[in-house]
Amino acid sequence: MDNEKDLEDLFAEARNARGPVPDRLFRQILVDAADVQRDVGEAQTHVDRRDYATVKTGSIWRVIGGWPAAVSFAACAGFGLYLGLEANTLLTGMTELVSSNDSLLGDLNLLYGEI
Amino acid sequence: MPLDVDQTLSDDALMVMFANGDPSAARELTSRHLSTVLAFARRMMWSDAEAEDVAQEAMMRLWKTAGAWRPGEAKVTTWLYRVTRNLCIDRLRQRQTVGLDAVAEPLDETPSVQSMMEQSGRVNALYDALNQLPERQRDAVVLRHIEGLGNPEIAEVLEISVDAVESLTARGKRALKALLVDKKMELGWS
Repeated sequence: MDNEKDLEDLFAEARNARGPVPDRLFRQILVDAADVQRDVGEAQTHVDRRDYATVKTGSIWRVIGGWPAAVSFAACAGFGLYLGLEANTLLTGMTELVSSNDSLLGDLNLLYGEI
Repeated sequence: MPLDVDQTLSDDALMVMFANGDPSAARELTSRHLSTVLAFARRMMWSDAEAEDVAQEAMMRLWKTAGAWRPGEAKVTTWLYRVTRNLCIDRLRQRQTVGLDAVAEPLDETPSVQSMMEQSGRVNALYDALNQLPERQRDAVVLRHIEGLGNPEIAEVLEISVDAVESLTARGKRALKALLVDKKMELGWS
């Protein structure tokens, strides 16, 4: 075969011999596309909801003062609990301290005169 | 939502529309590219059923990649040719590994590639010769002379340099001519 044109003609013939696309295949591909779009949409919605929940929780946390407020609250609650549980011991101790120091009151009277 | 999209929109724009959930973009992209993908797969697989499977898988991969598509980076056609070729090569290698006897013979159940493509004996002779070429030479010749791609595009599809494409195409064409000399009568050449 010497003629380049013969081969080019053959290529052109092959180029034009393109079979039809079956409707069934076309429809199936559109169904696949819709499935992918739906899956992506659902995944996006899930991410959006999670983001919204995170943002909302974060806002409330900031409004109530965040970690400093939480630490202060815990410290106050602990101290209050301690006071509540140890109230008797504390009051008894204070009373004994005052009664055992009557002389101290006398010394103060001498220093500043009768009050 | 519109049923049809503007046909002047670029493939890149359609990919963005698809990623944003517009179903009409899928229809337009399929209309534009499916016949090309299917024809290329038929030429490589020589089986309608397998070519359709490959085309469906290639389009599925296109949909899945839409979200990460970067406009201007690659052409949809080039990307599809590359994916289709890789899918075909995988299947052809699988055929060789499994053995022809173990593979379902699709041509018995579906119209033959020859009838589907309404090929003449001349075109059949061409494909017979093409299938005797080494894989890359055959693909380079098919992409250049039948699919009508430019050398830079072929280089992207085959993932080689443009110089290598030129060399493969030239060698492939020479080998093809040598093979076709034996089929002069069939081709009606003097």
